[in-house]
Amino acid sequence: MNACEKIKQLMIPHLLGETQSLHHHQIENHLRECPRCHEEFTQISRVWNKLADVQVPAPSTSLANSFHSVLTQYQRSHWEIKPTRSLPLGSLSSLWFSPVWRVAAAAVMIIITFFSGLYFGNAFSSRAQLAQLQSELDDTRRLAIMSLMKQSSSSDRLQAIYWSEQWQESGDDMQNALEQALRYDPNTNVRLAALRALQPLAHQAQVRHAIVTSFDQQTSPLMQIEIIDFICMAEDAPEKILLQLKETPRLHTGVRQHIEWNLKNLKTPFHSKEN
Amino acid sequence: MAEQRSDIDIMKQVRDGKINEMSRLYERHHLKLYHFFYHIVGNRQISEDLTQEVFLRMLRFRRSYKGNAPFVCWMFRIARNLSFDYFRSRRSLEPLDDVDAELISEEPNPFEQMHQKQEAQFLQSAIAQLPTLQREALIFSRFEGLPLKEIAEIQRCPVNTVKVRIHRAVKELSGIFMNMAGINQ
Repeated sequence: MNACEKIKQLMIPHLLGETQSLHHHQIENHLRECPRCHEEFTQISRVWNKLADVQVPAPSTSLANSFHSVLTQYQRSHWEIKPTRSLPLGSLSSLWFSPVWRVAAAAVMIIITFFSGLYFGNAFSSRAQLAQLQSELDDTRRLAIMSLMKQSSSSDRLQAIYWSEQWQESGDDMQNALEQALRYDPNTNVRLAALRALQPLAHQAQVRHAIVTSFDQQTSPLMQIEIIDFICMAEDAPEKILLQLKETPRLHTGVRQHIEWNLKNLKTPFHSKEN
Repeated sequence: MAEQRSDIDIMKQVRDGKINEMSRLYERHHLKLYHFFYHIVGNRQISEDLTQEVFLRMLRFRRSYKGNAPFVCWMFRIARNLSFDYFRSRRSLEPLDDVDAELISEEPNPFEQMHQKQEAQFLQSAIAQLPTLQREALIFSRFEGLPLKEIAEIQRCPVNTVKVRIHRAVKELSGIFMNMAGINQ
């Protein structure tokens, strides 16, 4: 590398004040002696200083309000996704006889019975008994969700996933059920909801592995793209995984382009030519 | 009394369930994000939407936050992924004419200020024409004031690559700017 090339590499750090004093003198001396480098540095400095004039309009006041309302909503429900369906608009009686409402009613009855007993009987004073009851309540809730996940109606399965998201202590069986839904559920919306429900658990290597390995089983390009986005967000070294996924046989052209796009923007080798 | 806790500490609290603490990070960083997106997409409304989406994604991925790199690196990595998604869906840049109109119409200016603003508009348009990675590196460095090391962390590349990108960006910007302004080099 000749002296001019070396100095060119130091011009930006020099402008930013990120050079050591030794380099500082080296640059100054070179710029005095070399008219071409001096010209280039002057040109760069001029544009650099002019960039200070570029203005950005202030964001609207609604940005803060909107953020705080979203945060409040998030805190209330802890939901990560919007439910992808609206409530069925049938008669009240058909609502009542749907499995969702029957399970919900059962849960409400259990809660009412529990608190009534606490209030009237005064028999559950010990903490051990309370803990046992809490555990039983959790088991019932877990069973209710697991039962909903096995319903033939995709709306019921979506509802189960929605409830599982709201429940912090999901447990291994719930996690397994979500992973199963992600792999095998015939409905794309349910698989997508399962993926979103698993995202908060992305700090667990086994969850990340389950999501990545479910890629092959996805029949919908949309799901594959969603998984690719997940990999880019959650994995420390997404390039390697993306390269493997790119080799998947009969990959949809759009999905392949999506992988290539991400690889292009993630993978930035030292000597690569700029895009 | 000024807030002493670091971004990393606050984000760790968010990760551990104190969701409300995200509003502190919002107060500290929403303008940086908004400016970043504005320089990238050139539209106020879209920049606001993308800014909000970054905070939502941070909430969604909070449990995978490790805290072993500066918080802004993690934040801007999410932001640039979002900007990729945005351009992927649009496949083209927002026309910057709207932005220009917005800037001019805000207040009447004397001649010098008009001239200066016109140059700034040329520059803004020139920035939009730069290759993605160069544009990003330039914005992080010049407008966000991030050190080269942190930019390298965000772009997942060596520091020298960042230096080269910024250098090329400024040189290219100079050429585009002079062409647009009708100045012979």
